[in-house]
Amino acid sequence: MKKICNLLLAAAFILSAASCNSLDPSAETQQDKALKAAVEQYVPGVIYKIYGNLADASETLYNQLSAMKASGSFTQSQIDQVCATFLEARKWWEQSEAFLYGAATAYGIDPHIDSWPLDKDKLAKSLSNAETIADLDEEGAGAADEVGAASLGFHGIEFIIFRDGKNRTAAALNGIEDDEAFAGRNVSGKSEIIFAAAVAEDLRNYCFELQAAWDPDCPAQRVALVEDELEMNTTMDSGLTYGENLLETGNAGSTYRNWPEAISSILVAGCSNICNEVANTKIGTAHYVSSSDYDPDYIESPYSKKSYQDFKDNILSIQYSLYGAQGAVSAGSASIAAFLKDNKWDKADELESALAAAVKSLDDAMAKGAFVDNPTSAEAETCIMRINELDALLNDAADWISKL
Amino acid sequence: MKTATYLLTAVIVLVAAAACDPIDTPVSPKESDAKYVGKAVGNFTAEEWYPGGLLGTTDNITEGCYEDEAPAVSEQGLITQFNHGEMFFERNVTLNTAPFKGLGPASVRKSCLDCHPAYGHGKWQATYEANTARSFGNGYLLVVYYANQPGSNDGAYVSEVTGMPQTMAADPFLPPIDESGISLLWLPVTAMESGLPMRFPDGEVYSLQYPELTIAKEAFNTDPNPYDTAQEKGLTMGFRLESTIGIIGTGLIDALSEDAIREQYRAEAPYVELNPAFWDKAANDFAASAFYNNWQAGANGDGILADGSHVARGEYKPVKRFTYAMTRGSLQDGAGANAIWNITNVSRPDRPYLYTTVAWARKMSETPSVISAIRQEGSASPYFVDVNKDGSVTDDEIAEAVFALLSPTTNQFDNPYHNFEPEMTADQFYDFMVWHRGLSIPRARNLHEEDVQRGKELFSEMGCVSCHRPSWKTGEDNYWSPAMNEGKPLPRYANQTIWPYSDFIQHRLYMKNDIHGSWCRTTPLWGRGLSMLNTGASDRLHDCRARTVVEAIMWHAYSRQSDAYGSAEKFYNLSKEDRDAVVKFIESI
Repeated sequence: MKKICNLLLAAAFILSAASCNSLDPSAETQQDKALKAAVEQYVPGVIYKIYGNLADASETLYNQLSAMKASGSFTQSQIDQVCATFLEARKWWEQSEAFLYGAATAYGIDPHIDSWPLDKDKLAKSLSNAETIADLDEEGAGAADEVGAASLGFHGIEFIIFRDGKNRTAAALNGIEDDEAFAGRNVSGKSEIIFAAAVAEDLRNYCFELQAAWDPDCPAQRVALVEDELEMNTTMDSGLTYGENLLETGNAGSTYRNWPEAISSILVAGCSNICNEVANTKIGTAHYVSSSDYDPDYIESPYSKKSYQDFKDNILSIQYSLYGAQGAVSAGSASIAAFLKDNKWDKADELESALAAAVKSLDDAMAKGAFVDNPTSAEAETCIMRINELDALLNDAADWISKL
Repeated sequence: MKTATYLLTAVIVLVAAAACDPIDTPVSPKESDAKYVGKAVGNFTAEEWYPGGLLGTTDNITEGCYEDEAPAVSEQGLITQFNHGEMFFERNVTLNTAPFKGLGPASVRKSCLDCHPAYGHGKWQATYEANTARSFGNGYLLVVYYANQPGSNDGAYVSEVTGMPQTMAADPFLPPIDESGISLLWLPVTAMESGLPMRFPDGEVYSLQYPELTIAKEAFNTDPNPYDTAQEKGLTMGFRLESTIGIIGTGLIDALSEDAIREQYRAEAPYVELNPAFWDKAANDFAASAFYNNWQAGANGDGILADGSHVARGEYKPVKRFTYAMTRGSLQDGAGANAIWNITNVSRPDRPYLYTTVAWARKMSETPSVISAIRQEGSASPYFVDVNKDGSVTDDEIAEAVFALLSPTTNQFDNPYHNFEPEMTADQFYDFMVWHRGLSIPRARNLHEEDVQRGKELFSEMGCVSCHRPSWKTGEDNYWSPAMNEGKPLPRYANQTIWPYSDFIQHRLYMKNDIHGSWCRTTPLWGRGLSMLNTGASDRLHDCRARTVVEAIMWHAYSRQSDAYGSAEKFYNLSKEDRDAVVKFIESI
């Protein structure tokens, strides 16, 4: 997001060293090869993998909510299953936020599926309107616009199936919504599940779009749905997917002219961007700005009370990007982290330590309770500091690589 | 943030670089430009790597760089306010969830980001949609006016809808314009009015398209309907599109001195006809209407300058420099400061009035579905008012309350019907202004490459620089800020050499279905080359009609009357290699 990479410092270094072309051409070629290998591992191992998992989980979520809708009355096991699937999908989404650059931003998918705060007043009005419920029931995602953009996405569903950090109870969902914003509107749990199923279909569609827009091997059925039925975007102006665009770095059609530039985008536009957002917006704003000005709803994931988990998954997204594979706990041989070490960047170890410290700070905070319950805690402050330290090193790494 | 030593370091680098000979070594196109940043290269000075000056440029050139804060933000210790202010830009506005309240009763969009996708220029749209998921990237504002003649660009705005017409409304109201009645067609240019062929001398073909916008009479939910008013006046309805412009670097434009802008007008006036609304040719000075006077009456129009002095409304009149139509003079009362109020309809202490029209308020008060819905909601609705205090509420009383509360002259916080609370606090608005004024310009790219240097040479030789003036120096930046901000500091950009590539003067291109009013401010070119990377689109010109830089340039040659015809004709006659060089230069600055 907001990065001062300080290439000026780099320029100063170059001048003082008086050796603008100190790297011999053969070494540079080896470095390019290593960077290319890291990208070739990162694109399928991290991005395709996570977007594939997100698409799968969002499809399952939609199917489960549709089954609930069809059943008409709800059991606790149905609700628990849906909640578990929601958290699974949510995990993959949060773990994708170190690569929001590309389709998620260009196609507006990020604000569309992950908007908060929820517009509860608007939602309450919509769900008390019999015509809207009938449209949602019949048309599903096709009627999603009727409830307004600020009721869609993960948090619209989260509100329906979670409350106060717990799964909704069968009794609650088989009864009438009792949230303050719904007072006097007589909105049934059945209507809420009709709404949730429609939003889940909309969410699934956008997750399919993400997968198709990155991975050229996205299942044909999903591509057909988003391209032909929904008329969504799946390629860049060049005709390449975003994944191909990265993999074709240096070739005609790619927006990346060289491998250091591609890696800079991964580190700055990807990793640093979400680092900054987590530290200074997702946590920072709630932490530093007077809470009296805010409804707790503006904090992300307030109904499931999973904010810290979201933030941790964001940092894990950075970890996987650096290590070259989803789920990796150490640097793969073809990875950005390995490249930094192999090429003797003097802060390579510091970067890995900062990454571990950021994850630990979030684990420590999570152990103390939910963020939404105490956004001004000392643990939240520590998270901000650790994540900002990681952010600074990510930018330093990009600086260093950009001059190779 | 790590910018504490930024300025000093940068100065050292620039001084050191200036002492060296320019670097003109041919380089591989696959080489990163990072190692050349801050050095004189070919026909570029070291400073040109920093289009926003040292206080206004970010070194980030990756996706998302349009979101970056300027070094001035960090150096002034304003990063927390910047981050907080950013949230108001990025989040969807809701009906009633603090602190993102607004949208009622009529609005243009649900979020700033819809019109400024990824902080960039709006994207070309096949249809006008604000109420659907397709609103993302739709930066179009509808322009509805009484055309002086059928097809004319010129004529007064209709008074029945707001200057930036709204197609969204909160229940139970109907939008002033029902967007299902909007028709947008994109038509191909089959021949240039200037007579230039639609293929370059070397055979390469270019194509141009232009919009034809119409809005059906039935789409207007106003009383009177503007079609009827037009008929009474003996005029016809006119419709145009205007897309959002980029918002980056606007603080730097605010920092230009009035004297510097006056000198630019003086330099151009002998050679080209300038808009008489801005330049008095006989007096060789600004026309009276070139100066901006805060439109808000009373204390809400007061301000405080950066030096701490208090100025009452009317005492401070900056020269207009913002928006295509040059309607605004101070960024802090410019397009963004007003848009957070009138696009998403968010009230604040110094904006107690709605952005609506009497014609819409009247129509809503006459609409049976509105009255019955309010009656059904009962006392939960602010429009269910027992006006005569007799213990019951009649339909007439509801209609009276609707008319009063929806009218643009009713103080929403102080009236006999229902007193609303401001939806945005003064502190929140201040943070929003820190963010707005604090957005940086990304550094230039690839200046070390020979074709970029050739492009610069041609851009100058062809005379493009007459209007797309490359460089300016900011003044002391004694900026104006609303009194509500209590003189709290905003990012300041004193004495910066900047490279916006604009003269901040209006010119005419005489394009088919041109901009409303015919005059359009020269668009700054800085940072636009990163649009595709940031937003996934790179459409250009005021209504996104140009899909490429080449199309944008050739629109400058559509008519021989165009102020830029001579320059664009020279571009037309360049070799393919040189045309590509010009394009690459424009995308690099």
